[in-house]
Amino acid sequence: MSLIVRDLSKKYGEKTVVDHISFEMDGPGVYALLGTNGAGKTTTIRMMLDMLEKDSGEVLWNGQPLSFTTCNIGYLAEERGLYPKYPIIDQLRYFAKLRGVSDAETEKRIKYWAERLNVEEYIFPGKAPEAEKPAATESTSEGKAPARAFGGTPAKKKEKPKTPDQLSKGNQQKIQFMIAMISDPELLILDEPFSGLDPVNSDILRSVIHEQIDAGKTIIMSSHQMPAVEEFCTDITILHRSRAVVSGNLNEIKKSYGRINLSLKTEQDITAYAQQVGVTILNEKEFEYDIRVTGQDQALDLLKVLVDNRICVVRFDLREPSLHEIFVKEVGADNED
Amino acid sequence: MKIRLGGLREVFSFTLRETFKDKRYRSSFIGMIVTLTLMPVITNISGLAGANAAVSSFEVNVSSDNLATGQVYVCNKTDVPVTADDLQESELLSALPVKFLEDGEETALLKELSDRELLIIASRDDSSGLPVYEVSGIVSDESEIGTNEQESIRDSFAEIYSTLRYESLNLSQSAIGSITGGISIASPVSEEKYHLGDTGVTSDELMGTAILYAVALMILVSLSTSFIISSLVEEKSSRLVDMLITSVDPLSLVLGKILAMMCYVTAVLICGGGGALLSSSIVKKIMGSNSAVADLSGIFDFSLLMKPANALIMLLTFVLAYMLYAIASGVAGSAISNPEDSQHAMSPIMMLSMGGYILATASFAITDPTACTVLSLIPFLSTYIAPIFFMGGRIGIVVLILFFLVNIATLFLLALICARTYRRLAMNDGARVPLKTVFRMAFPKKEKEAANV
Repeated sequence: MSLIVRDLSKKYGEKTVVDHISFEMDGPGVYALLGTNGAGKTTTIRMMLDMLEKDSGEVLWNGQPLSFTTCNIGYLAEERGLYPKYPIIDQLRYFAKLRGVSDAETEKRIKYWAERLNVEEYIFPGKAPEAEKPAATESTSEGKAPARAFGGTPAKKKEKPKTPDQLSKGNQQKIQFMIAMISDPELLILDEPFSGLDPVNSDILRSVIHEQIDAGKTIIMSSHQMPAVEEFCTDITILHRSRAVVSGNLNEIKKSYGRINLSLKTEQDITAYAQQVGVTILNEKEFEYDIRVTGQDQALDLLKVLVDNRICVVRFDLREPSLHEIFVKEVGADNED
Repeated sequence: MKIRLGGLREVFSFTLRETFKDKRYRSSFIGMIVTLTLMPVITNISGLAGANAAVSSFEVNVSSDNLATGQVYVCNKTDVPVTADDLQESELLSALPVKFLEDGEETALLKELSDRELLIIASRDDSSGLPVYEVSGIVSDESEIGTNEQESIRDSFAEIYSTLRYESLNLSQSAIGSITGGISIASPVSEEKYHLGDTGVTSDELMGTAILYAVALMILVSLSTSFIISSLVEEKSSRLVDMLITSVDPLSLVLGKILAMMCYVTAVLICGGGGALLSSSIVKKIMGSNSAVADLSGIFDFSLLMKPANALIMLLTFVLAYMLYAIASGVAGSAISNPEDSQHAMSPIMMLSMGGYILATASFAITDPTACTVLSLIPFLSTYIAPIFFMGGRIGIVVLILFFLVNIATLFLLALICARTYRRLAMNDGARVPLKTVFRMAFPKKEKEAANV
C-alpha cells in the first residue's frame, strides 16, 4: 500500500489555511501531523478525506484518488459527535451497514470492541462489567444459590438501550472509536485521539493503536500529545501557520538537530566547570543536571574537564532533542498548547 | 459531476426507524394523529351552538322520536282546504295527534293552552289588495316544546299548506314545481370566459377539489419542511456528519433523511386522515344530518376526483409537489447549522407554499387563458394550481405536460445542488449560509471556483 499527499492547499477567501502540504507513506506505520491550534491539521485531514474541496493537490491511495470507495477508511473526527438520543448499538450497526459489513460480522466486531474498550455495559445494557459479575459459585449468606432464570443467567429486568447522552465524554469517545474501527479499516485517520481521555482510557487506546500497528495498518494521527506521537510515529510533519516547517522520518529529524541534551549526575557541584566549558545548565537538583550543549564535542570537553578535576560522574547521558523540544523550537513556545 | 446514491437505503431505513423510536417524534406522531382524529368531533362540539342557531334560520329537522309536543291544534281560517289526511304526508305531523278547530274556537283554547300543546293558525289578509297567507304557531308561556320542534311542526304544516294552496288554484304538479323551484342567478361574464367555463365542470366542483387538494398539500408541505430541516440540523449539530460523509455519498445522506421524514409525515396524514374519517362517520351516525361534518360535506363537491384520469393527475402532481418542496427543504436545511436558524431556513419554502395555496383557493376564479398558462409553468407555485386548471379545462394537455417537465427539471436541479454542496455545507458549523451562496457553490464561476463556505 502507499499513501501520497501531494501539494494540498486551501484558502478561505484571502486567508491560506493549508499551504502546499505534501507527504508520503510507502508502507504500514503511523504518520503524525503536528501543529498548534489553527495550523491546518484538521483541514488537511478533511481535504484528504474529500470532505473539503482542495484548491490544489491530490491524495492517492495505491495510485487511486483516496475516497471511501477506493479505500476502507476509519475516521475518528476531532469534533466528536453521536446522535444523542438514538441507542448506541443502533448507531454502531448503522455505520457497519453503511460500510458494507455483514450483519454477523458486525455483531462479532461490536462484541469484540465493546470488550476491548470496556464499554459493554453501555452497548449491551443489563450486562455488568467483568469486575461486577457475580462468581459462578457465589452463594447467599444462607448458603443458597442466588435466583436465576432458565439457562443460568441472573434473573434481571430488561434494561432500555443506552443512548450517548447517558454517557461520559470519554465513553462517547470510545464509542466513536468503535465506529471508526467497525469496518476493520486499512487506513485509520485519528484526529486528536487522546484528547478528553483519562489516563486509564488513554492507556487502553494506546494498546489498541499498538495492536493496529502490529496488524499492519496505516495510521494518520494528529495530536498535541508529543509523548504519544513519539511512542507510535515513524514519520511526522509539523505544521505552522498553514505550512509544513518540518517533515520526514522522526529519527532522521532528531539526528539532524544533533545530540544537544546532556543529562548528568555527579557527586559534587559542577557549576564552575560548566561555565568554564561554556555549556548552559537548564536545570539542577541535588547534583543532577539537565544541560544544553552545542553538540557531541562540547559534551566530551565537559566530561574531560570533570574527569581531570576528579569529579565523580555517576551518569552521563547525551541525547537528541525530544519531539516536544523540536516542536517548541519550530513553532515557538508562545504558540504551544 | 456524477450523482451517486450508494447508502441511500441504509440512511433511509435508519432514519425512519430511529425517528419512530425517538420519544419526541413518537409523541408528535401520536399528538398529530389524535388532533386530526378529533377534528370532526371538535368541529361539531365547538360549532354546535352556532350551527344550531344558523341552521334553525333555514330549516330544522326534528326527529319524530322523543317529541315534547303532546297535542297539535290546527285552525284554518282560509278557503284552502286542509284535511287530516293531507297532514299524513309529513312524517312529523303524522306522528302527532292533530285536532282541527273551527274558526273562533282558538280564542277559548288560547287561554287554556297547556305546556305540551301547540296551536297552528292559517290565516289570510286581504288588506293590501292582494291576498297574503300566513301560518303561525302558538305555544303557552311555559311551553315545554323546544323552539326547533315548534318551528319544525309549523314549517311542516306550512309546506303542506303551500302545496294545497297551489292545488286549490288548479295548477298541475309540474307547474307547482316550476313556481317553487326558483332561479339560480350567475354573475355576468364575457363571451370568452363563458366558453372557457363550458367544460361540464361547475365552479362548485372545481372549488371543492381545489380546496381539498391545496389544504392536503399545504399540511404535508408545512409538516415535512419543519421535520426535514430539524432532522438535518440535528445531524449537523451532533457533528456526526464528519464521520457520515466519509462513509456515504452526501446526496444519499440528504435524500435518505428527506425520504424518511416524508414517510413519517405521510404516515401521520394517512393515520390522521383515517382517524378523521372514522370519527366523522361516528359523529354523523350519532348526530345525524345535524352535524357540522355533514354540513361541510354538503358545501364541498369532490365529484371531480371520482374520475380516474383526474385522480391520477392529482396523485402524480401531489407526489411531485411533495418531492419538490421536500428537497427544497433539504437544501435550505443544509445551509444552516443551528436549530435557532430553522425559522430562516423554513421561511422561503413556506412563502412559496403559502403563495401556491392562496392561488389554489382562488384558482376556480382565474379564467384568463394566458394567466392560467403562465401560472401553470412557474415551478413550485404551479404544483398547487396546474391540475385544477386542467380539470377546469383552462389549460390543455400540452401545458400540463410542460408543467410536469418544468417541475421535474426543477427537482433534478435541486438534487444536483444538494449533491454539489452538501459536503461543503456539512462542514460549515457557523452562521447560516445564504441561499444565493449555496447556488454559487453549486454553480461556481471558473475564476471563483475556490470560493469559500
